[in-house]
Amino acid sequence: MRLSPVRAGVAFLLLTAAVEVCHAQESPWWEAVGLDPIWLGSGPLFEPGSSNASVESHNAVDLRKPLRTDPSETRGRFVPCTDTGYISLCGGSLFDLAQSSMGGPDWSVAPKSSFSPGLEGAVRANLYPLEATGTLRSGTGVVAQSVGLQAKVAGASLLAGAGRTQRWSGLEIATPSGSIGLPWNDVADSGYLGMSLPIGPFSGSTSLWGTDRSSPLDSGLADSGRSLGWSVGLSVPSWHGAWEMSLWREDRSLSTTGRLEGKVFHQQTFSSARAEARLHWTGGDWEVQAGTRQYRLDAPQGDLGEPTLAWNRLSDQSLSSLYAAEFDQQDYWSGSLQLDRWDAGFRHTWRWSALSVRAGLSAYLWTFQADLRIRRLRVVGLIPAVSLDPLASGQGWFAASGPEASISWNLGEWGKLDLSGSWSAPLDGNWHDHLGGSGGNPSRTSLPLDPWSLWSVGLAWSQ
Amino acid sequence: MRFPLCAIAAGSLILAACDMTGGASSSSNSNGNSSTGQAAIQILATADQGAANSSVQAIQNLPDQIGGRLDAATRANLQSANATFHTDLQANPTNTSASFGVAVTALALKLDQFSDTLNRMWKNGLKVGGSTPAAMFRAMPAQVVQSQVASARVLTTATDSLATIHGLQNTLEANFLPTVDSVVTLLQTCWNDPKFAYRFPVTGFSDRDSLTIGRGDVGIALASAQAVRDYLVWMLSQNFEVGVSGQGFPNDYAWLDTLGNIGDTLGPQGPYQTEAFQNLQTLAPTGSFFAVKTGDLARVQAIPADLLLAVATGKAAAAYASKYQTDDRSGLVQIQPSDLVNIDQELDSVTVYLSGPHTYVQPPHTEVSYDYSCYDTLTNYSSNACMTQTTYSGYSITVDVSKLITMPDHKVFLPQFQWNNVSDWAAKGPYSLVNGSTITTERWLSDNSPSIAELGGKIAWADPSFGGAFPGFKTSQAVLAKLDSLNEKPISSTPLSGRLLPRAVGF
Repeated sequence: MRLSPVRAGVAFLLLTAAVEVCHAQESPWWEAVGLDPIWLGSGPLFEPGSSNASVESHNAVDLRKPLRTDPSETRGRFVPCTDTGYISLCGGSLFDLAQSSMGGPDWSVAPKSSFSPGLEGAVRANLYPLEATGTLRSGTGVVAQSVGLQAKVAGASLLAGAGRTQRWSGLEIATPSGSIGLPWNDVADSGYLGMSLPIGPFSGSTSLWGTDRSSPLDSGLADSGRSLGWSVGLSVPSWHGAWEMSLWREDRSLSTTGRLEGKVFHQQTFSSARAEARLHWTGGDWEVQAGTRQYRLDAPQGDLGEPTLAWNRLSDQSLSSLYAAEFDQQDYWSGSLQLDRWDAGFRHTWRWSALSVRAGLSAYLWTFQADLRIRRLRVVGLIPAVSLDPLASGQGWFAASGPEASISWNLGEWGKLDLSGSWSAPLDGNWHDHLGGSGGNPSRTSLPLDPWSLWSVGLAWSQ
Repeated sequence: MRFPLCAIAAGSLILAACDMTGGASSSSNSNGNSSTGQAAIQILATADQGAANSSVQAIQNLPDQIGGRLDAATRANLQSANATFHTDLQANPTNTSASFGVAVTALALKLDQFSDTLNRMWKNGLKVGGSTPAAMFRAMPAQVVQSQVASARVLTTATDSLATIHGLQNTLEANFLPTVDSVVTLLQTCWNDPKFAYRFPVTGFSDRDSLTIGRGDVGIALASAQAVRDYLVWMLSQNFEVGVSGQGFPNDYAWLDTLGNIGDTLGPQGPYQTEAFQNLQTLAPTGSFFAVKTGDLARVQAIPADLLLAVATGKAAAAYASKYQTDDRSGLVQIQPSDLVNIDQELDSVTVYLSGPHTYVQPPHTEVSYDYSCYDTLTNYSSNACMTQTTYSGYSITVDVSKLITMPDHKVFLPQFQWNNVSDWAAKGPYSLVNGSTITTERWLSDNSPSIAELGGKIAWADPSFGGAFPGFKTSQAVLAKLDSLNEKPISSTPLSGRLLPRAVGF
């Protein structure tokens, strides 16, 4: 069975395409390893927390071949604030609607759609030069709180914060003998340290953040891991315009363990990294920008006896332990996946009184590299044998281009209304399959990824 | 309790190759290679490891495109390895590594025959594991375990000319049962060796290069092989033959197909319909069908005692594995002490059921059902509608499994009935139930589809205890009442609060 890197990557993360009889209803791995298709495909239209009310929707990396996948997400928030000068209070509701389905010639993942309403509250005390903030968010299966303290002195600022996020989730694995529902709960503690300061005519900023996550339960699915990220930014004014450069990177490590009736049926470690670099120039009503977003995932093969999936241990029958001498199968997943996006574009802004219109054109290049495999240990009638099933090994790319536009309407004392949208159409691409043909000759087909157009649209109100 | 009989059967088929050395077939009293298991087993020589590995790979990778047959190079390699192992064994009869090598290579060399049998089964509609005859080798263990086709028929040497049930039974009796006997003997010898251990090389792992087959593993395989032998003996001792030749039907079993396609269109009857019903009348209630064959009753009656031995072996092997096989450096099967308690309880229950009448009690219990369709809609994704908890009433039934196994004639389960005259088939159907003076025709049954309760007074058994296998049944009415209770009815149904919470994206 030959897979595309995208399919294999998704299957790898979801653990669902390992075999036809296993089907996971949920996919918390996506978030835990930092793979966000919306981030790779489009990116947010509005800065988080910059508006009192907003709705934005994205359709990212929508593919028809060689696999069918259509991740999309719609986010909304309505968080009005009151400001007394020293104290600001915000409170309201938010929702997140995410949908995705995936499928190939001989497999499918059931459509996943989640509607997650939630509440958000924030308080900010402005005691110049100090500013303290506290936030609390509660949604379906998640509660998050954070505190922060910022000091501003002579144009420089220093920010420190900490937060905790508790999640209650679950995974359902369906096998021919029945369904197994496994709880997956975890707690993530995070810390943040940031600084910005003027350096002559320049303005620089840097930050550092980290997260430690672990599961309190020793039954069901449990995870543990850490992440560490950093960022630097620099603004440089010049006679021909203003330059802004930014760079950030986040590295994550994750170990997941599955237990059923005291038996460990799943162990896997992951390490991932994602990074973004961007260069932006503004001159009058013109803007030009170029950047890249990159994602890496590595999963080493577990030691013998520590498989990604041990089938006999998925049974809750007491005699199942004895089957290991007759029939047993252990799957060891490993490999690496790399997804990169490169983009460049320009925009022009027209202004009329309270109305401004910004329009531009962008071009995108996505590249994929994958080397994913399953080492499978089978025991049949006391005879063990090992086979290697390479899932995907190859590299590919596809390019897309399209317009983007936004309208900003200043409503005076009523605030500001922003409407943004972007659309891009695929241009070309190919895929070099290192598994194809005898002798390992790579095969090439025209645009085998066959992406649909990508789009984003959003509406925001801020005051 | 579900005993993994099919898993045991299929697993032991692999082990059965210990006897498939190309030499004379063994009998149930043959020692075969049994004398070779008394010493601690050594690791195979490098050359022999390669031969054994290639054999296992051949087993695991039957190619679809050639119907699962060995290619010429693999066959030549296996033949060479098999000869090497034979030479080693002749030089040192206590070299159980060589015995193991002989077994593995001999089994691999049987693959062509194995594949041909699978293909014949495939053509006859007996399909397992996937879309090709060889797919069962790649099927998930659970699928193979659940497959009824993973039975003794697979390795028979039956040809198309022996395509009768009696012919198949005779072939199994002559060719396969002796093999299972010798496997039991060989494994018993290995199990008796307190130092038994066998390291099997595996590649592709950085931390280790071998797995160990431990004494506990062999003991479990021995218990499985003993159970398979008992299963085979029982199957081969029953008269299942329903073939009738020389009536103008295309083959011996075509009359069954004629019966199956009559449906509700009885009468006026064609000659083949009439012939088919007359064939049916010869089977019951007076024929020998579904009864133990003449002369086989003694070995059938020995089955319960032999199964008790198998259970005892299984318990001892599980205890050994739990104590000494703590990881796969010491054995394939690892059992936690807490699991051993459950395993002992399961196996003890088998002992109890084989030792006389015992009442099985299914207490009131709850089951959770999932409605997967509700996941497709947004608002119901995590709603209660996705999961429902239903409570069932439970039941109890007293059964003597030993009597069930050793029953000389299973037609005791048929209710009292009479065959109707051919001229009455259109109005009454081919048979009627008889309960004293109450006659209930097949036509009435098919027209009214009565419930079990509505059959009260219409159906009766000559022996409601069914030969003493169900001693609690004193009357036919009691049988019906118990059958009704076995069809558990839900006594309450409650939607569950969402246990599967969706992971919020964006928090």
